Amino acid sequence: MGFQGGNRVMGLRHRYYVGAFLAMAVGLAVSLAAPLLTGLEKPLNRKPIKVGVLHSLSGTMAVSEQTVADATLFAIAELNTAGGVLGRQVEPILVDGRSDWGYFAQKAEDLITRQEVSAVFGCWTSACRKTVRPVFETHDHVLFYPVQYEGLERSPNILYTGAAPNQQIIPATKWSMDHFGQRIFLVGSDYVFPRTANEIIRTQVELLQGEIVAEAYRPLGATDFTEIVAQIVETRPDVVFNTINGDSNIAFYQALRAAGVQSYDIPVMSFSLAEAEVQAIGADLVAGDFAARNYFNSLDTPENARFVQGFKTLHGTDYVTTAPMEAAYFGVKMWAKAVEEAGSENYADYQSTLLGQSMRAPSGIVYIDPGNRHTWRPVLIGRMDPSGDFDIVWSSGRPIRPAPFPGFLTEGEWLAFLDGLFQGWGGRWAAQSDQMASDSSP
Amino acid sequence: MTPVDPALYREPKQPVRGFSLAVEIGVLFVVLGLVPLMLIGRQYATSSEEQIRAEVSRNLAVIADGRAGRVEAFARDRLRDVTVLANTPLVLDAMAPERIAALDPFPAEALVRSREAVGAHGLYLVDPSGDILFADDDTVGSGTPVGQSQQPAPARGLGSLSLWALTSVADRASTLLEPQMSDFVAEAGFVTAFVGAPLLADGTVRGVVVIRVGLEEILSVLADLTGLGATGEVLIADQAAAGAGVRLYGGLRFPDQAPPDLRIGALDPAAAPFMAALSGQRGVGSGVDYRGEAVISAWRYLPSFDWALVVKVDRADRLAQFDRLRAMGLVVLITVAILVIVLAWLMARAITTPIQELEQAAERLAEGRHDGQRQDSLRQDSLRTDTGAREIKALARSFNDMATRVRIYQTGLERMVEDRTAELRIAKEEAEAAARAKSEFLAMMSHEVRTPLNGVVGVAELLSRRSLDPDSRQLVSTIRQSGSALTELLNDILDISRIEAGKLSFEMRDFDPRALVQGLVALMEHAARKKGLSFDLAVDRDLPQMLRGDPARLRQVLLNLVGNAVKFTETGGVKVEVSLLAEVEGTVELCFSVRDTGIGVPKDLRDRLFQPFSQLEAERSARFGGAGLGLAISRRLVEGMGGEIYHVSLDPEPGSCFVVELPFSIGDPEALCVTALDADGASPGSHCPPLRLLLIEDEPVNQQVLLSFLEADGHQVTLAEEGRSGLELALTHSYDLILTDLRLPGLSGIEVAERIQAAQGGATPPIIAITANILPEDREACTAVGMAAIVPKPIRSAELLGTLAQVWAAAGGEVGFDLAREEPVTLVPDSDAPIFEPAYLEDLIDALPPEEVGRLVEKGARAIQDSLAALLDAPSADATHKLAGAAGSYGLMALRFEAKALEAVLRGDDVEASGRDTMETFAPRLQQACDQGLTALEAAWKAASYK
Repeated sequence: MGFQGGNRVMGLRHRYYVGAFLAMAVGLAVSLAAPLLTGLEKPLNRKPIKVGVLHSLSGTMAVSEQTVADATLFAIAELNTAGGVLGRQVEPILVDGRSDWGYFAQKAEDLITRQEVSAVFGCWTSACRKTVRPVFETHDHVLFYPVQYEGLERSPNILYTGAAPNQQIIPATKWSMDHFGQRIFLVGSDYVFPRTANEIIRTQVELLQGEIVAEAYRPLGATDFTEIVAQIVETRPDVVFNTINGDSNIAFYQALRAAGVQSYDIPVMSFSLAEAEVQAIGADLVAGDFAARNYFNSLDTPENARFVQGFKTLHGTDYVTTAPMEAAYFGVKMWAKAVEEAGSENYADYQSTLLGQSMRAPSGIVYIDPGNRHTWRPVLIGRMDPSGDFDIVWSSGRPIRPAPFPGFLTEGEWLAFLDGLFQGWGGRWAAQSDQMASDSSP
Repeated sequence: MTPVDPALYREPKQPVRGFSLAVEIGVLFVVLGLVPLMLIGRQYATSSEEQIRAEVSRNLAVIADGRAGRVEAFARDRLRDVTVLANTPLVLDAMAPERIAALDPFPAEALVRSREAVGAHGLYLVDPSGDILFADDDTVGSGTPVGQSQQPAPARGLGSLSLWALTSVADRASTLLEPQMSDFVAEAGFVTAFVGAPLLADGTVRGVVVIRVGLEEILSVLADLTGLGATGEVLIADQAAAGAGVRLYGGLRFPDQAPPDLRIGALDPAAAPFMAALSGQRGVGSGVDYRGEAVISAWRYLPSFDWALVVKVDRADRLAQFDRLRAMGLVVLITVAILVIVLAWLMARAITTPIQELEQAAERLAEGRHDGQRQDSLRQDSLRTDTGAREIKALARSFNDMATRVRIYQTGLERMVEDRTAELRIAKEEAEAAARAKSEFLAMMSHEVRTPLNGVVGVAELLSRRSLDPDSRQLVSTIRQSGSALTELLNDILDISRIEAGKLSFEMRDFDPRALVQGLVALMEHAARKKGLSFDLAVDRDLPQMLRGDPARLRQVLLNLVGNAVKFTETGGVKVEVSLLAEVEGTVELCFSVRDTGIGVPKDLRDRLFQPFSQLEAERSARFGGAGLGLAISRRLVEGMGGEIYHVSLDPEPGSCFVVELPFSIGDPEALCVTALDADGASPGSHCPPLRLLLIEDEPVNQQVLLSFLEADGHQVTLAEEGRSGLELALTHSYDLILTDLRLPGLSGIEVAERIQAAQGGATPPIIAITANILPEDREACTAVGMAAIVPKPIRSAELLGTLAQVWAAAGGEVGFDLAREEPVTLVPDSDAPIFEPAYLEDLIDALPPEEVGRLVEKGARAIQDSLAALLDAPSADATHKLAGAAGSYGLMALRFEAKALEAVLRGDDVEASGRDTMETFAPRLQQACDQGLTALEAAWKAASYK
């Protein structure tokens, strides 16, 4: 009995020692791991950071916006692959705006207040942006807007990663006048961007002693361009400035070529024609025409190569990257850098690090202007070659300072002009067309 | 519980393996103290370094943002300045087409004021075609109008680079319709940039107003080192030619170490932050600067000028705080570590000291050292119970209790063992005493019985020699036969009692086995023939001449077997066979078998045949007489001699066979043999001529028997009643032969023989011993003192006379005396015995310690007085015998003599004396002898003890 008791005590003693050393080892491990697990000032927070992705995944804008949504999600996926932001995963909340601006506003409200997202990436049309803008301003939140637009806007709650007029329209107009001549034909979809863009072009052309031969509009989604093409054929301008958006471009080009207008005869300078539309139209129809943009799929930079490669790996080789996609892509990256630098996903905290933020995007160096929250971007003019790629025929070579309000009119004049459009469309930012519903499919 | 030697439990001293408790506790304390300390220290150091690093990084980022903002603001402000200028009526009017066309002079003074107002170095008015119409520059001259068709020459102040920058700004402004700014160009010692805005009026572009700005404000931004400490710097660089690295824009804090030409190669690590910024990145990180110094830097891209802005501080400078912290932490850590180690050591000692004491005490206890000199003081050996933790105190107390218990237990155990040993010793002594008493009783009884038996047998013998009428002869014969049977019985009892008492011993001497067996046959043949039995003897021819062993015992055994065979056989015969079983190297093994045709042994009794007092024997004894001890004695004797005795059944034939197998060593054939004795009658030629004999014998019965036998044989016998008187007679008179009893009062027969030998040497007459105890040791003693033979008691005339004749013949057969001449002398005890014989006391003093002697003397004196008193009170032979014994023991010879004399009177032996002396005469003599003797004894003892 005595010896058994002794053994038991020995066992107990051993157990105490083992326990002590285990406790010590656990303490050691915890204290060594602690710096890895916790931020220095922040308690452990592994919850993912939510961001809203608000685009039309259905309706007439879906064909364009789906690509931007894909680019946004691709950028987020890249972030997550690289370890997330602030060591946390980024959780995209993808919302379908249904090509309905009121619905956009409603979902934006929902993302901000209910989902408590860090930022919203979304919208395509200016009409959409202008509709959701009050939501972001009311909640002091931020919308990353990835599409080139007509300018004439300044909001502390919208970050414009697309081009302002002076980063696309104005340089392209000057270049066209230098290369093609003074007589210019303007054609566009009947909504705020083409209208405003054409107003800027008209003003500039007139200041530069050029001539606007004609100015013609069709509603969004319209497919009937025979009248306009006939007008072009009749007036024979030096160059046609095309601000048609969406799948209407197909009808326009088909009508144009059907009418025998060739690029060497009357070149077309497109401002909203992206690679996706070119594919839809057919490269042979577009070959020889020009596009003024801030990004081309064929850009030869390491960043673009990575971007295109990564995106194609994910979505297939047929999926071409476009300027709005690129803008959406680096917008996400800018947001991530700002959040990292600020150490917080709250807009109030990272706003200051977002302003002045810069990076090398696929299109080149981009920089967020702290004053007008537009993006300094390079400007490019490309010419469609028969293989479907754009040859860069002109480049600004460095980021161009964004000027949302072109200086040749006062801001008051510009806003009055916008107001006129708004009133003219019956309190909307686009012309309502009977055709629109029937022509909405690509 | 058996008390065991603690040494049995003590294992060989092996060092106990393992760490000492002190080391264990010490190490644990150190670990316990240091591990958390180190963890905390490390944690603290890491987090504080992180924090400082983060703080420094944040600071740098903020400073970089501030400086970048100022540079950008500078550009924005210049654009605004020029836009403002472009919208002033002064400028617009100056470029009005009608005025240009009219070649109106420019309002130079107002333009200069405007230029100065915006802080520009120059102001140029350019028409839409790119011609500079007006120039005002603080370096090339102010207010100088330029002709419409003339381009301002580089010689006029602006270099070609500057001019190109100016015209390109003017071109862009006039076509893009936005204010434009050129990059800074370095030319002719100037670093300058041009900012232009279109002049728009009436829907036309009138021209461009361009101002020239210097680098001063930028440099002032660089020179502002607020918040950058002693080593911080703000640097601006632009891209040098492609792949050629970067070019710094002055404002270095350490111009001595500035890189040559302010260029840093693209592969230089110092260029890394600049390159990163120029590629559009912004960030904070560690690296080296152009001096090769480790720095922390923040870099920003400046889009307005396509510049890189780097804000950096020396790592050493910013992290000096952390290094101080680390050094301090290290000092604290070392101090605490030392403290912890010292504390751990002290605490380990404090905890383990009582345990060590306990361990040592336990070891002492285990080794039994506590029962040495410390035994008497339990208190000193005990552990202190007032130090250490509660458990230790309790342990010490328990240990003390345990040790005390162990001691008490051990002491008790020892005492118990002592007590038991003493008890056992007493019991053993008592048992031995009882056995001794029994043996002595038996010996005494047989002796006492034998003495009268001797008388009976002897007298019967004497009677048988007389001429008697046939009836009387028949009666005497019956007496003789009864006497013989009784003697045998007594011998048996004596033997078995002696054997039982373990006093069996065997002698080794040479003897002739044939003679022994033949003598035996001769002895028994007569009885066998009388019963009409045949008696055969067969002796192996190879039997050795002489054997060495105990012939008397062998004879006794064989006699018993043959006697039984004769006794239990009515018809048929007895056959004795002696055969040689084996002979190996001087030893032989003999087989003696005695076979008869008698009644045999019943089967159920065979296994108890050799047990004493067995039923078989008892039954036989009842039928045939005898003590029934014969076979038991035989077996003991045979086994004692290393042999074996067994019974062989002859079934279905009648009778039985007893076999004795015995080993012997072969003896010397020349050896003398004196034991051959015949039972009945003397051997032929055994008669010797009348001799002068001295007989020393104290027993009156034996005296009479012997005297009768010897005198009947015609010898002249002088009787001495004790050794001393016998010795005197032997020395003073001449005898042919001396017969002496071995047990005599005073001098024993052995002593008498010895003294005679000593006194007379070769002239000593042969001496024959007479004894009842023919023990080997007696025989040896007899032989040692030169005695010629031994005659056993009880005396048989044939034995006595035969031995006498043999001895006489051996001695040469001389007849040295004339029977007629000599008168027989009856020796009476010496009446002149000394009052006190000191030899006895001296013996005591030699043998015993003085106090014991003293006690004995005292006790003896009292015993003598008591005995005397008892005797006087109730006179009896026993009382006198006792007194005589006591007196003799202390050398009171006179008293002993008187007591013996009285005893003789009282026993009625001394008929003469009884007539002369009565109790009245003996009492005063006894008293006197006693008083004188005791006085002398005490005097002698006192004298001896004073020595």
